[in-house]
Amino acid sequence: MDQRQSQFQALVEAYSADLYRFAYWLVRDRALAEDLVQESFMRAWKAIDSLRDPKAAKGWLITILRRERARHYERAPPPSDSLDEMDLERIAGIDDGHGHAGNFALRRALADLSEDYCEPLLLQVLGGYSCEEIGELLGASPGAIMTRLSRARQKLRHALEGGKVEAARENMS
Amino acid sequence: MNCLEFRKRLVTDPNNRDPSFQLHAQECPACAAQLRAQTGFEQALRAAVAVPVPENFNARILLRQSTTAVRQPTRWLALAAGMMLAVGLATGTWWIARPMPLEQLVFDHIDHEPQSLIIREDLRLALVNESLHNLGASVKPAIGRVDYLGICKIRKEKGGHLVIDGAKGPVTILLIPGEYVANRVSVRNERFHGVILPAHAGSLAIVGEHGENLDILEQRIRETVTF
Repeated sequence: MDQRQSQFQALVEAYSADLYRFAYWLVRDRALAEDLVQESFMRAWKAIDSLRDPKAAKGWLITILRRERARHYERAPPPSDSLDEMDLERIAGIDDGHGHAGNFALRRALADLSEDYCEPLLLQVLGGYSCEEIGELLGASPGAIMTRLSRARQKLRHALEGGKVEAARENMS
Repeated sequence: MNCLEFRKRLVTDPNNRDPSFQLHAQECPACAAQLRAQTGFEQALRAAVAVPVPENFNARILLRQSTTAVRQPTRWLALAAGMMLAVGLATGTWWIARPMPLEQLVFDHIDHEPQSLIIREDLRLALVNESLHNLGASVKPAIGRVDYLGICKIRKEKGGHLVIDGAKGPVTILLIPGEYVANRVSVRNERFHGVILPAHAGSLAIVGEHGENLDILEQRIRETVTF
């Protein structure tokens, strides 16, 4: 296996899962998320010689993915409806140790978050980026990113608390 | 760091490792309680975001990349194509270019992927079907051993390229979306012979070595391949 191939394989193994999750929560469609990540990796493969600093690989891939998604929506604008209910039921049913109701409520709320709030939050949770780094990736000031992150968490916490109340009501009835 | 700064940081960057943030949590019980609550929330958030990744996702990305890598034209080929186009434009003959006939497209595609007739991978059927899913295609176990699978651009759209075992050697199946034939068409060149069949999403080509019994193959593929 040549060096380029090894480098590409390492990128796929290290980042494909997080890129898929990032894409999934942005487009809320499993098949489209998979397509976007696959297309992004194909573009990354063609341009892999331009990646000089391996530490920058994740940000580089995220930028490619965001462009790929923008290209896709230029051709086919996003549907107005949110996450497919069946899909949400399926992913929400997976036990994560935090209780089904809380998990469902949180995922429902994530799916309902507007992109302005969702995207920086995903970059922080999945990417581990600081507010300054997210600002650079999204072309916004760190202050604006802090506001969005704070409001995103506030919305999600409300949803999670609502989900727990619902679960308690179900248990009592 | 005071309580206000701490709580602002808590909801904008709760996983930060700033020493002054950690120090404040140790010194202020109220903020420490807020930090514990936020930490629990962050765990739930990470779990919620972590939707399952499709099975064999990495394998499919690498499979597609390996196909792309083989099919990428070399620089001199691109240069030659550019020169031919320039000559065509200069001599006014560019307009005679027409889409390649489907028969030639099929044989050219096989010629451009010579490795497809050599590789013996014995791919798992689940992996094959996952890869074919986006084409709206699937295969049944009775198709037998699948030794090669490529999701390739055929003419303008992505199609499926499978190789199975025949009596005389490898047999190529091409799932060609958007290219329609009215009836079953027999095709032949100096090395291969085959058939192109009408399919729901386009056409399906079956190509084997001379001497391969196409009737038996065709029946097997009609019974096991949905496209």
